[in-house]
Amino acid sequence: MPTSPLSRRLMLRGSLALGTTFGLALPVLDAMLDNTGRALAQTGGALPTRFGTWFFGGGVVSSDRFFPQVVSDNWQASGMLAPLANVRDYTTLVRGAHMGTVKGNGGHWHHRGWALSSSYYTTDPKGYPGDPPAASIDQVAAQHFKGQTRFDSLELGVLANGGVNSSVSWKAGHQIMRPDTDPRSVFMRLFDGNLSDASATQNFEAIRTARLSVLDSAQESAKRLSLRLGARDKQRIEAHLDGIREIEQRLQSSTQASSCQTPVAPQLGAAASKTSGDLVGISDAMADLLAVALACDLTRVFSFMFTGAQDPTVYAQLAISEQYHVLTHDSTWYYGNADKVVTFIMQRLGYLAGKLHETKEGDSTLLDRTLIYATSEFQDASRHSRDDHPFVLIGKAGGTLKGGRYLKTPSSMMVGSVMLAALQSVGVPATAVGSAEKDPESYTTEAFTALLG
Amino acid sequence: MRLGSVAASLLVLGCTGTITSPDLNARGAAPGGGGSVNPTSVTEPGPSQAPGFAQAGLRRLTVAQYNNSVRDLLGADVTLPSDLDPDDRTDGFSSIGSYRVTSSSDAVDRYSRAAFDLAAQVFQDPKKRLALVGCAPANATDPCSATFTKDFSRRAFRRPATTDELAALSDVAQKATVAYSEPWRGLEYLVAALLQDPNFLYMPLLGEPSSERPEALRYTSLEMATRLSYTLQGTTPDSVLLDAAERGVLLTPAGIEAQATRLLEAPAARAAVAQFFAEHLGYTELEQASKDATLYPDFNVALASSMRRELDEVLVGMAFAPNQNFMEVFTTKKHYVDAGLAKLYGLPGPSAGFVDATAAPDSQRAGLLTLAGILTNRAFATRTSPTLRGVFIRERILCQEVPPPPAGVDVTLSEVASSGAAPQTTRERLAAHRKNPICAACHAFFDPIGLALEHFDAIGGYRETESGFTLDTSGDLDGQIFGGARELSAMIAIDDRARSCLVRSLYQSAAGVSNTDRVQHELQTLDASFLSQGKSLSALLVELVKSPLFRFAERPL
Repeated sequence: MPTSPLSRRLMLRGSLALGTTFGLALPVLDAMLDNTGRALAQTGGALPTRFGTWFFGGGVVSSDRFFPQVVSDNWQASGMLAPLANVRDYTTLVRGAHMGTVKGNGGHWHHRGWALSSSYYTTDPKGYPGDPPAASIDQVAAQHFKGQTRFDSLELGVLANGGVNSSVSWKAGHQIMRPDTDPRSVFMRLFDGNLSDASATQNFEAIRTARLSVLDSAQESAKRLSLRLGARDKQRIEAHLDGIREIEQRLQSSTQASSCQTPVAPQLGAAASKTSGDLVGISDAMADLLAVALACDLTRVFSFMFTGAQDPTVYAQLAISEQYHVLTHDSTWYYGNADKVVTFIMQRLGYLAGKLHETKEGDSTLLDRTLIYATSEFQDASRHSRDDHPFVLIGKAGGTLKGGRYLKTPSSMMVGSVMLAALQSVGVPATAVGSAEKDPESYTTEAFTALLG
Repeated sequence: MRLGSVAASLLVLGCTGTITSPDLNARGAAPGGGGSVNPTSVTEPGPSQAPGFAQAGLRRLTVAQYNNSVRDLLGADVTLPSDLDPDDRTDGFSSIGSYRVTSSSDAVDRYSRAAFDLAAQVFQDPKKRLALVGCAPANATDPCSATFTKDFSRRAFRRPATTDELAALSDVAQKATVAYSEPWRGLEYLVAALLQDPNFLYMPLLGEPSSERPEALRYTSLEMATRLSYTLQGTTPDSVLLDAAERGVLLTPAGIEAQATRLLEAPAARAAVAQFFAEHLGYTELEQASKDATLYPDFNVALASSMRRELDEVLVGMAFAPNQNFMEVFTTKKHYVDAGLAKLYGLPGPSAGFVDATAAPDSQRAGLLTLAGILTNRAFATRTSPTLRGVFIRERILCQEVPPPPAGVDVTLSEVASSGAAPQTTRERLAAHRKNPICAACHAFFDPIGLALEHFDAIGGYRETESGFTLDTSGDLDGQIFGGARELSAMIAIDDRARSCLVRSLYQSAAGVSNTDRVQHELQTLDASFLSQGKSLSALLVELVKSPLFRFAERPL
């Protein structure tokens, strides 16, 4: 991690200053801050900003019902948004933008492409049907922050439903970033450094060398293999090589002393079922881990799939026995009962945002320097609607967002404009989102600048 | 839902159900055809023209293939990883996705962690490691280590490792031996390295030019070993197959036939066929089905898993019984039940375990379409779905394309019948779809055949009536009149389309291809041999792996 603003020595000082009674809300980076609490002591550099997406499937019943009646700079938390009362001052509501028009007969599908990448499926018969052509915006941000933290991005989820397509993060070219839905596995990845068995031994360096030789061997194999492949397969092996290099980098930068006090390992693992489980427990355990990961600057980018598009979750907690996607298409049920599902979903989003708000960083909180971009695939899943798209943006993104506001975009604006402004708010210098080549209609270069300021 | 390229060109109202159009010009070059083919020059593909085979390329092991391979390599009692990157089933078959799926950094990390974990399970257990290696290594380069390295890497890579590869592996073993002052740890790291090597995780099936068919690439003998083993047994080739491959035996149909026949005799072949049907008929996640506990108090994961077991048993039994016409799977009265399933079927059941059972000859319970697993899988939590069941028969059994509903249409069924009275049965509610012209073209295509199964509720239990109202299960299959499930099943059992569909699906799964437009001729040949061999599925499998469809590839993109 050559470009990290936090040198290893500084990190060690940080962990010593924390002592042993680590709690999730402790000011993890404080020891590295200057006296003002607003910048890093050694370099005077600015504190990091973070960006994450938070996705749920099935829409918000309708934007009219979900959002407050009056557009104002001081919205009131009620109805489905009541669970966000604790972070209302940090929350910017946005609605109005629309998605692209239906192409071919694929327009019926619950796609995640438009809401997260401003690009739609390719229907090229020689291509890969189903995958959005442009990277999701968390990966756009990850590309910008790349190399500055141990993990370029974290992909978290609650239920592992739907195979690889049930993801909310992807790079261009069919590279799906599947969410990890097992809190224990996330914990291992974040705090174990792939060297748990070695950290207590005297042979740490020798073991690291042996581990690196395993990765070397895999890398050499991949390179030799690549020489024999066609262009498309070369790209796939290149992605695999990227994965090996990332493990290698983490291995090279791991030390016996952790840079950040390790939290208690979660007791909760992944749900046994793909369609139901302890949604509250898993989601909140993920939120707890995410707060530590951000506070320790292990990553600056995340995606959080509370549920996927065309959500097959069975909300047994709400005494519902049918898959949610099926119910969203029973309009009688949906318009009568989905409010309670959306409210339940907002409670979990509220928990995550609240956790970041509890986590102090210098003289402010993590939420002051983070932006959570929360959305769904539609406003109204029953209609597969493409208009008046809902966004809940939580966090002040380092001060570029005021919070507490409720904004409408011009209805002519594409969802990509909100994405662009959201990316720009955390310092990602994006000038366009989407794919000019594959989905020119949704390709967006105009930011919704009213969001900033 | 399997959405073929054909669907993209179908008009919403044009629910014609064409399997595949012979008019390629309408769609341009087909997938697998490569960009260089000028669509206007392609008419009826024949043996002398551009072949249209699957493209040569790289397949990633599916989760099932990975698990089977690891068990074969390390021993059946290893604890398998639970969090591997999932399969891509975009077009129904994981084999099709295996040519496309890309491993994210997280996926690579999971492979790496799984490899270390699996190796540790074996090598930190003195009995297991000795059983695997067969001797105790004194250091990383002694004959014991060297022999193991050579043999194990050959199994893992499905070919002999090169000198460079052996040197890199030996280096790993050496470094780990030094780090832990223990040669067993050296071999542990070596195995961990092999299990995360791209040569293990991916199958390069690249082919080479041959005089046999100069316009195509022929899979090498070793590649054929991989193809045969994963297709027929779902796992890595055994030593006998690798030995045969190294002798070049698998370049000829005769050599392939001998090995294929041998492979099909193993229990692994039955599991592989079961896996094919689970994907083809779309019930890989049957155990995840959710049913309303008030309406269906007997339904639980255990019952769903018994349904799955029955499907496997009936389909596999039909596939492997000697000289058995497989299409009789649609009419068979055979069941395979435990106590829970027997209760659901109203059959006498065992006090423990599973037994064969037979449905009454005059019952509507007749064959595959009326097995509880199929009926449960194509129904909602609280009610049946003739639409889902009808689409299933059109798409999976008859290989007909069904386009998705148009965008922006409210798909909720009315609670008011056209007469103004509340509808009594699902048939009456669905009538709204068949009256609305936007919906009618397609719903008329699949609802009537789905309604044939209305005597079976959302978990496959028989019901004489629906909420006290008489059920009408009559209809027609493209003009052939049926009175209910038994007659519909009998029609499907002798329907040429159902037979060709099975042949086509088996090829798609084996070769990992979606589009079959340009191999119609070869598929017809295969279908003819299926017919001439009494529709035996195991015989069809041998014919398939011997055929040019399985032995040749097109150049990669």
